Amino acid sequence: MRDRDLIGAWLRSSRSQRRVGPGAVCASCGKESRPYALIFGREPPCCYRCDRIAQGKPPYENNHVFGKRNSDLMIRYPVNDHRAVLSVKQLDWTDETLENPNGDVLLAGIARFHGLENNTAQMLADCIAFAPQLKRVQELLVTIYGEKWLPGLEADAKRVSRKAAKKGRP
Amino acid sequence: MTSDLPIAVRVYPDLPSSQSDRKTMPQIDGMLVFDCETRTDKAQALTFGSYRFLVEGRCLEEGLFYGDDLLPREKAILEHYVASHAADTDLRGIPERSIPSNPRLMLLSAAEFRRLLFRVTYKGRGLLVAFNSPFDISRLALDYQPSQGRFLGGFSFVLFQYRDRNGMLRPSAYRPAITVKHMDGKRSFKRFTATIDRDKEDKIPEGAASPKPDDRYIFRGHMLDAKTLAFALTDQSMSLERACELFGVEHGKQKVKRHGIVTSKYIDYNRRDVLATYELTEKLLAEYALHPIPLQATKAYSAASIGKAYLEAMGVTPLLARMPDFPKRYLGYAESAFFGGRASAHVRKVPVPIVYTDFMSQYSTVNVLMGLWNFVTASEVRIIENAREELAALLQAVTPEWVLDQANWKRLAGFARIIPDGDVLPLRAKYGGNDWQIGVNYVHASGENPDDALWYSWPDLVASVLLTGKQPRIVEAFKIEPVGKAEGLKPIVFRGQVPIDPRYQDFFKVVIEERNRLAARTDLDKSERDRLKRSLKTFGSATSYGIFAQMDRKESNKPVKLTCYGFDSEPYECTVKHPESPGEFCFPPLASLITGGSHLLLALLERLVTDRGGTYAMEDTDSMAIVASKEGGLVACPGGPYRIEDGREAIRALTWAQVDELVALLDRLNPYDREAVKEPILKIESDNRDPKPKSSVSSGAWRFPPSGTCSSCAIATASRNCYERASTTANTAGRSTASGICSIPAIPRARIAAGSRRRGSASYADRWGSQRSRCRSPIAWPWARSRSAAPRCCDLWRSSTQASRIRDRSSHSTSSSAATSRPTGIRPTPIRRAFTSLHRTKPIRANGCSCRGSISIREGSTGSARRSPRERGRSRGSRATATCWKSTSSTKKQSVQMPAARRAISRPWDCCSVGT
Repeated sequence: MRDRDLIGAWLRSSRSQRRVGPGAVCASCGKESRPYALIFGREPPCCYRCDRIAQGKPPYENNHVFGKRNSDLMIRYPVNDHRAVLSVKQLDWTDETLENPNGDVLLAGIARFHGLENNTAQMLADCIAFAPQLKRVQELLVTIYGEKWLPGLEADAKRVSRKAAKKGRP
Repeated sequence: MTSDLPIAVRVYPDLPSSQSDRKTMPQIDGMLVFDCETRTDKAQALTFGSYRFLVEGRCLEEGLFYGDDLLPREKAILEHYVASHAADTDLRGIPERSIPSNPRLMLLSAAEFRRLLFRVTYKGRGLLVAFNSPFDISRLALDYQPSQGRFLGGFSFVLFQYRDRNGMLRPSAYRPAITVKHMDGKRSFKRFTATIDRDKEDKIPEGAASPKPDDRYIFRGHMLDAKTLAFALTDQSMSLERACELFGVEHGKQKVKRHGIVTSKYIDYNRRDVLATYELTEKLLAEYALHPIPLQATKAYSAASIGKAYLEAMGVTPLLARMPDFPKRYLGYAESAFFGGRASAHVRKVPVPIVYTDFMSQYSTVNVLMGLWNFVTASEVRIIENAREELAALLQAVTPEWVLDQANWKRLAGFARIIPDGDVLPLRAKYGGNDWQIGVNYVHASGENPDDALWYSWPDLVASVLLTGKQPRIVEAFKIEPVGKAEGLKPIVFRGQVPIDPRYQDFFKVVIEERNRLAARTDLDKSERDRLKRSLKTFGSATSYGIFAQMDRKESNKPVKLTCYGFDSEPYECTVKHPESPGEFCFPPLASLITGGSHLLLALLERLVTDRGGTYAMEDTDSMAIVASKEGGLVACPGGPYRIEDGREAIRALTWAQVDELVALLDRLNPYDREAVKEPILKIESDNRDPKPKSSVSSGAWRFPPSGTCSSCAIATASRNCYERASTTANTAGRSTASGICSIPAIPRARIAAGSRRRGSASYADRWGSQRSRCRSPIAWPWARSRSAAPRCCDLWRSSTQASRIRDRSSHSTSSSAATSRPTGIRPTPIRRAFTSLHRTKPIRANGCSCRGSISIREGSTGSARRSPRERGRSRGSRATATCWKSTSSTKKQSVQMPAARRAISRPWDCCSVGT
């Protein structure tokens, strides 16, 4: 693996922000602010997700996990994550790895490592993004059942299922 | 015997004013700081350099780069160095933006570094920083080409090339070059050239409301020269070392014994330079950020740039933008009455005891005395014509007492056309040399023809009356007065510390008063007080004069036809190659009144000194070296009106007590709050009262001959020394030396020199281009009321073996704004030359002098090409030359039609006094 082209990374960060203007946020959802997830030249700013929904398309895109020239394997990702994260991360690969014009097997192998790293990182990030919601549910359960909430919850669950069973009888 | 005396007046060119491209600094998060080292031979080829790439104040990459023709041995040293040294980077990187940092010290070829520079500063729009960046940029260049268009006269440094079909290297059209146009040692314009086939992102204008690409937009780069910004903030040219000291940089510049040889220590030195430049830039930008002004730091070329931005921040718009219909002919009249600061060497090459005096912030003081801030902030400036009677009455009343009354100064905002008749007035002419010089002379007209009249500001006329006691013959006069207050004026807080409300306060007055109040402020520490004091001084001075006189030279390939307004009521057209357009805040009436008021202050001081029987050794714009000693009395000086016991000629030195009396007298003109400004407005330099007496030795006016033969020094060796000393001081000072010191042994260093050098008054060309002629003229003693009866200086010249001269009235000179205000970005106006023929109608011999005579300008002609009688019959149409001040030699061939100047002037002619 080569050294990260830090100037390239800074350049992408800087130029992408320039493409959408400073502080741009999707006017439709009001949430998406990642520059690469916003459509260049769209006024008012609009993210790819909202754009696809407006067009009646599903808000997903297939990502070539190991690069288009290295493998046909694709995973379906939310379009904004695909644009703003995975496609951008592939730009950190060396040009020859990403483009692999001669179909070199070893380069394709290197691309797999890169792709695995990027996708795993993205999945981890996605999982980690879920953690606050789980935490909130945990806090709710503690509030209702106390710190040892699992037995209480299970007992309630049984009670509910029994009621449902009684109602279901003729 | 006939002699030609060309005279010149400034004109107001009818060109649109320069438009400011001031704008607030866009947010720039990337910065590339670099420095180059070179060979020490003439070619100064790049050996190596180093750079730092920083984002959000964190250094993410550091590296070295080397020249293409570096020796393998030297390259091996660099390679060993990067292998054995770590980069001084911030290991955190910028995690929130997924930007890592590089712990390794990089080593790039020059080509790789050029690509990096392109990526960071063009593609990423980062800030390119260097100290004295034109030099460093030129070291990186592959080739250069002469610039075109706005940067004509500069160079385009090619950074990328390609080979065409014939194998020739050509500049890339897809990647920009860097164009540099040099202004002076401290400033230069720099920008990227245009390219073709740009990316969409490169077409997005900066600061635009929407990020839509604009095909016409060309990104010009953010290039910051730390030297320029340091100059703009302090009005001082300084080295990196000095700047680091002044701004308290932690890692200042280091020293190295040998330059040009690649060694490990030299690489350390270079890396330290880059670090020092970066830290200095941070300090400068932090200081700059304290000023609430709408001006990019990269466009702050001088204190005047910042001063103008302050005016804009206060809502003060340029007067002519506020009044586009202001009659241009009045601007022409005022411009023709414009002369720079008065400066002269009065006693030459004779050591005399002096007390050096200096008017405090003279231009600001004149502004306050004359109430000119009311004009700057007025909604309108009204012209009141037919003020002849009023002026005549006013001049009748002029006495030193009258001038010492502050109320009278506010009555002096006017201009008059007079027929000169022995009045002592500034006059721009070729006094023997090949340069236009300004002398304050006796000016005479040949007759009563109103066409022979010249425009002068009222303060200049008051000064003349003060010095001659004679009323001028006024043809017409007008005065100006402010009406109302402009809309949109708003208060500001100067440097975040001094509130100023332009609606109710006089900006110039507040600046001076607050500067003096600083010592009593306890809310600021000493360093902060010092910085604030420097800012107040720098930007107060910068806005008090130069911006109203500013003319910007325009480069063009072809001659440009333009209309000029001068002393005639009708404009004329001329064609010049490099026209000059009025600066953004240019308003000639104010410029002329300010310099006229300054002349008046010095004239008043001269009058007060001479009334007491004394004289002065020199004067320079706002200062005067009064011949004075503790006990007073006679001082030997060849040519003086008195004689001491041994029969030698002498002048009278005032006593220190008399000088103190003058200081107290002139303090009646102190317009400031006495609680704040406790010092008198005429200050005595403190070291004048040392037990060891100070002497003044002034040689020449401000000029020295280009050869070793000094035209003003009778002793050959002294002449040589004089000249050499002068050039040395000029180089050291970085600007022109107003007065040289004759380095004859045993003559003490003159106080005058320091004062003069600090001020500077003439360009190199001005100084060297004149005084080639030998004295063949009369000299009038400054203390003689009847100057025509004075002995000739040429008598002294021919007979004396002493290096001593006393200058006559014509040795008073006014240094043009072109010279004095160059640091503030002032360029001289185009000059209308009115060639006139001088007729020495009646050679007079007096006191054995063969060259004395009344010289009158009879009629206009074109230098040697005299006009035919038929041409002479026409009132207009004599051929003369329009030229720019800086390019007299190149524009001599240009001839244009312009009205004949039928001047009729006679004066005691003194070509010894060229150099005035």
